[in-house]
Amino acid sequence: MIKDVDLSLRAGVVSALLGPNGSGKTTLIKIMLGLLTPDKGAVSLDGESIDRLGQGFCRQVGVVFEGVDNTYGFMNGWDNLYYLGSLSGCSRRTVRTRCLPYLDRLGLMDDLGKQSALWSLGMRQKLAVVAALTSMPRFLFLDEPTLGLDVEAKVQVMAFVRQLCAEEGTACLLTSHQSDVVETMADEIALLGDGRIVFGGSLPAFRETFGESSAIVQFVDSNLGRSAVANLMSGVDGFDQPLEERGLAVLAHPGDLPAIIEQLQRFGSLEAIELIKTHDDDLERLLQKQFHEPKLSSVAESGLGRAS
Amino acid sequence: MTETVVAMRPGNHVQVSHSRLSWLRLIAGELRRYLIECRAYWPSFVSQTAVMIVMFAVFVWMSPATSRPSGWYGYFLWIVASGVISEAPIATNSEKQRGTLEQLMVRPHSLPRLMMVKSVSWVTINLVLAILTMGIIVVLFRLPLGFSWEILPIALVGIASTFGFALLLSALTLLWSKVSGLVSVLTFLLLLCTGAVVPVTDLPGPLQWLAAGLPLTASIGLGKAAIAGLGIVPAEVFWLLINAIIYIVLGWLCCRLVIRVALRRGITMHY
Repeated sequence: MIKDVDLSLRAGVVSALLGPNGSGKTTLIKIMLGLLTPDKGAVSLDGESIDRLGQGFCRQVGVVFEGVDNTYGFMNGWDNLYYLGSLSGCSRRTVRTRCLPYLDRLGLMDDLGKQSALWSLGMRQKLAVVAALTSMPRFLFLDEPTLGLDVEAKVQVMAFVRQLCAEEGTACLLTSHQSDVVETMADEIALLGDGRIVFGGSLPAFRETFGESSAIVQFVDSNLGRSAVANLMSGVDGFDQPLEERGLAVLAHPGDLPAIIEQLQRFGSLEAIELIKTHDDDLERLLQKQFHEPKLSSVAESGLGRAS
Repeated sequence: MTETVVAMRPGNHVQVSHSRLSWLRLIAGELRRYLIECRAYWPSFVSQTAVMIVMFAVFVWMSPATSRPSGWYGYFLWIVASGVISEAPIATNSEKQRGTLEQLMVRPHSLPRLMMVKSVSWVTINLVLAILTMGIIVVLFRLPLGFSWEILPIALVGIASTFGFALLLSALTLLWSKVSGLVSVLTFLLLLCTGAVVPVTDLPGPLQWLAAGLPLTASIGLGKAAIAGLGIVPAEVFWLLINAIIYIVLGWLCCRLVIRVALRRGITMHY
């Protein structure tokens, strides 16, 4: 169930729609494309409902759907592009002129004469991206565009889409479960949880809002180290929250570090410290926390998402 | 419940012109795609042609010698019509399974329009096949098949009327995925009721009434009369045309209605 979703796409900006499986990302994309009729609400382009724009709206979008072919395996690369281009009203010449630079950039030129069923998954996915661009769409929807691709193909697709949006001003909405893809490609993210947008904004803003740092104090592996850990974990003086113990290391909030040092100094165990390091949650961990820990909170930021 | 507000603000992009030419491109592109598909899956195509030849031969041989000169026209029309009606759900189902159906749905042509264009390409290929089949049978069996140029427009209108069925079955495939049973019922009902095999006058009362409302019946009756040199009544041709248009329009409207239901249920890509 999706409700109260308010999402905007902007020219030249890559937005990532994120959420756990079943959160409604694909459903939302289908609604945005007019492939699914919402019970209430509207999708608008330039302030006009896409229902009113009708087929005129379709001329402005390109899509790569998740987990399906998107192209015809019995046709070769060119025939696929010509056919899908003809559905958008493009002549073969237009398709050729428009797609050649894309195909070249994605390294597909040598195989265009072969049946696409014989291509690798990565090549077929690249072809699907190019096919989505035959009509020079203003909006590009990519549902899990790098799913199942090897590292090289993934990097190529990511770089290609970024460059396309930057150079041609295409507004792109992508979904992905791969945090590296989101970090590389997305300018903005929208987090879908419980059928609502629970966060909308830039990646740095997301980190700032939900990111947590932690400090790890590692002790020397000796009696001295063990006694230092025991002293800290005993909860004496200064710590109102228990510290998490990991062998001969304790995990604490960076803000607690001065108190930890002071505590150890008091017990004369300061020399038992082998290493202190702080670390920030990576995006994957942050998303995991947002998706799976029951503390979703709504954060509003300009443009991409507003939760109500 | 799905409640959504989505806004898109665009950049400055060049738009694809949407002229009458795009219609021609659409038909040419579809025809080419179908030919490539036939070539790629040629064993299926060849066996389909073989079945067509056998069926045609059986029909011609079964008919009384006196009615053979004009009798072939009924089988011919039924074979082409049933080819179009059968192909529609198969093609839609293939698009669903492949995952290209939604690619078609996000193109600047409505699905009924695309189905219509697809039907044109199937008719074209099926017509060529049926003509070849007929030629082979004439040469092989030296059958005295009659012909009149008057049957051309009559046949085309009759075949075009089946687009309505094709549109409806394509749309129903969106909902139910497999409609082969329905296709069989429809095609064999057409075989029975249109006068292709059994004269309409020999049918029981209710079936005669049903037959009278089918454009294919009128087309077959008029075609046979034209081949037999009995002449064509213009009023009957006019009625055939009106009837065919009614079927196409009804098929189109039903198709739109079923697609609307499918979009509400969100099952266009479920197989």
